[in-house]
Amino acid sequence: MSEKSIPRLVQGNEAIALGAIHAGCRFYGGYPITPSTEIAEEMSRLLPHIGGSYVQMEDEISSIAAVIGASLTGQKSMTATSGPGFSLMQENLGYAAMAEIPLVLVNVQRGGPSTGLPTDPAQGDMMQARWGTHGEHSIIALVPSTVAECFTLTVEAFNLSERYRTPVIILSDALIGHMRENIRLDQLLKAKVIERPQPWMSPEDYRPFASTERTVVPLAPIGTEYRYRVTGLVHDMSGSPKTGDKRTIEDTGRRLRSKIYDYREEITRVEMTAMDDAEVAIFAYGSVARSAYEAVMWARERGHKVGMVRPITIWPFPTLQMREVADQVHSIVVPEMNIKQIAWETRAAIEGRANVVSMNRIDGTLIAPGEIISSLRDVLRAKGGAA
Amino acid sequence: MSRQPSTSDLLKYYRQESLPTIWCPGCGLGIVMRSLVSAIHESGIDPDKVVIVSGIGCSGRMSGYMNFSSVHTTHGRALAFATGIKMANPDLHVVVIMGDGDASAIGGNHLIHAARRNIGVTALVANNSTYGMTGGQYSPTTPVGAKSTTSVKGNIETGFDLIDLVSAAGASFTARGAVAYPTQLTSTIQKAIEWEGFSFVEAVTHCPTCFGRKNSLKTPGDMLRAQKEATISFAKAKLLKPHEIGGRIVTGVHFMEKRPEYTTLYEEQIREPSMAEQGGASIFGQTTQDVAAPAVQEYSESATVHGDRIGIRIGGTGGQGVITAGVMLAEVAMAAGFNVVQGQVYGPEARGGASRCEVLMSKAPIFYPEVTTADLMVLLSQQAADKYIASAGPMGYVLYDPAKVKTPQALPGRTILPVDFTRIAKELAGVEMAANVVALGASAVLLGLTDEACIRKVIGQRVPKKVVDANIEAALEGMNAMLAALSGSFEGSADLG
Ligand code: SF4
Repeated sequence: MSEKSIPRLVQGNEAIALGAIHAGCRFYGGYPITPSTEIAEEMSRLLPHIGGSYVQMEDEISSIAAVIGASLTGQKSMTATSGPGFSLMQENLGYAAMAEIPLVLVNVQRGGPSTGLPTDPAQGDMMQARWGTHGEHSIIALVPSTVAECFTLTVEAFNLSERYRTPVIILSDALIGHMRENIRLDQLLKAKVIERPQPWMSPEDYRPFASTERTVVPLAPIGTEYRYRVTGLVHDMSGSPKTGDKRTIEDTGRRLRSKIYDYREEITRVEMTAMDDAEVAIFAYGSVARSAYEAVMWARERGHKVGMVRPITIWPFPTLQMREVADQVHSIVVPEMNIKQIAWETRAAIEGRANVVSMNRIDGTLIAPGEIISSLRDVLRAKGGAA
Repeated sequence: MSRQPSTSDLLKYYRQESLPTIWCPGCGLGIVMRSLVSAIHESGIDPDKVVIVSGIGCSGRMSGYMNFSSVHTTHGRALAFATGIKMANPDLHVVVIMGDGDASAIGGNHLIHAARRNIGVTALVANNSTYGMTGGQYSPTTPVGAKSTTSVKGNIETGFDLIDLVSAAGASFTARGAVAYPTQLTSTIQKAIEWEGFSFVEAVTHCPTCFGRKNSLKTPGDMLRAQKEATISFAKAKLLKPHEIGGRIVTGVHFMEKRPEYTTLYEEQIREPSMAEQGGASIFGQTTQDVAAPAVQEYSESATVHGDRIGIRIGGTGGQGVITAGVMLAEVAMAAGFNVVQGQVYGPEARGGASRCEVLMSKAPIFYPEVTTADLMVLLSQQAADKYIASAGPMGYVLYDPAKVKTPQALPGRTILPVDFTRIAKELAGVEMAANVVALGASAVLLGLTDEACIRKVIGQRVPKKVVDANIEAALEGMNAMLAALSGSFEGSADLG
């Protein structure tokens, strides 16, 4: 019997919770904070139906700590927060990177610094997601632009976190988090889920922090015959602290970086729109990308060769893709709700291959299509065309 | 009191390859560790199911020396990690080792909350009254007057009595032992491990390197002697007056009272029967329908407000249900095959002041999600009218509730119509609160979304059961009122803005 989707009106935050459940998340530890709270509310409601558990911790520090603990027992686990809570989670985020523990951390961005603008969107945590925890490490971060993507990227975040045994961050924002859109859940539920692999070697031969061809050894659940050590200290492949052995220190540090960085072509996804013959690219992500699409339509209707590149993965940064784009276009317009965080990164990545034009807004208002259009006009005029 | 197990009994609990420890000769931590493995041995629990979680500092290294699953966490957070471990797998025996800094300074918050929740983990605090790893600074349990590298003239801060602290937080088991009496410490830890709820053991220990040398206790022996002299059993202490106990170390079980353990409570009270047991229903609900099913919605092409992309703004005051109305309107539009985006203003603005809900509908994909000018505006309060009327679109419709909003000034191009949302809700639907749903009905007519069955279904899913009928009535009356107002306006009614 043929069936058709029943469209459903879903909020961005709710879609993240639904995506997490589909991805197999069975533990949520969190602390309420605007504008992410609906994720906690949904997870507290959903998890008890499917054998999972929700615990409301005393703060964000303990929330991510509990998530790491739960993940170590073999449960896919997540937390969600916003600016101030994201800052509080940084130390343990580094622990998860160091101890190679999969988890998903959702940051529904709001204006900052500090308490800032609790109910308004911003994209001010792009760099904090990359470098917020101390020390050399790699991280994966995804940026949804639609409610449907809140679902699919949450599934992808879990998949990547299991595949690379690493924390994965979702950088949503107050606008996407709180808005509702129609989605086709039956279609979204087709998103493929990667299960956590189990170790194939015996407990005696198990070296949880060894490097393998596919970058990581499966994480055995703790509290089993795999009695291994987990530590945030620099450690060898069995988990023993090795803070005096220069060779191990250097190797561990480099492996933590390369296990993700070397696979960035596999990890990093960008969406190209109208880029085939583009001479100008708009590089926009998250909620701002929604306005950027309209700017591209405006330009194309007038015959301007403008396209759009939307990073779905922002970390690792799509360096190689952006270099190719920069070889093709003369200018890249980067609108963002922060002051040049990704524009700088773009500049560093493309090494002068094209002109980078940054435009910014930090008043908690989504950059409007008209604002991007006026930047485009300037760019087109500077190249001598009428705009 | 039980016999201490022999060293050969215990060897298997150590990771031989990780020894010797990094601890100074004469440090009390080795005795704490031996007491812990003895207690685990004596309790007969499956070592595979033991997880040792520790914090940072000299005590933090203990987890790695023992041959169990071990997690050496971040400073102060061991109990928080342990909470996640226990929640995710309640079958595990989780023992958390902390120093006094871990437990009562940086991690004090986690200590009181773990005690309050009564989560079934054992917190074992090796209290040596100093920060040993960093070279001997004062801690929250350093006695007044004691010297440290950051209190060279003597500590002026009153220390915590850790047992009082966790008792006040609701711990169901509290006990203290001292390394000077290892057999008793072992049996105390064993009782704690076997306890079902949150169990707390303070193991009073000594740091000869940092604390002793600064406080005229030159050798580990001096420190142990001093500890022995200061120790008194809980049974004996009970016979003394508080001033007679003074600063003595009162050992033994201080308190135990059965209270439901947290993960057990969660199982009993929060856990729902699994979806599979409920006849295979999916947690995601019904996501598809049979194509052959009759279409539940019809979009009337005779919509009064139309366009490629229609922006609707409903303005009112917090508590008037503007968001519910907007969400339902979006769902009605969605059922008619439109793409929709619904947004709202949150926060302080939504609590008392003017609040608004916006809906965009379009047959094409919707990118920019904001309503800049409203093709349809519904005003349910004066505040909202004052704030939003200027954003009525050039050809737009404005509906206002004359019971709440003064007649707005005419605006060129805009059609401004009064609709008695409140009166209709009160008199025809019998629920004044349903004025928002009357507005939904009226808006639906203007937008050509006049499928009654669909409106009924949406209301049925979004409002509390006992008011569904009244709300459906309100919506239908809103539709009637709008149709009447429209025919009136076509006849050239004076209501036309
Ligand atoms: S510094 Fe103190 S607590 Fe640390 S190992 Fe040495 S004696 Fe023990």
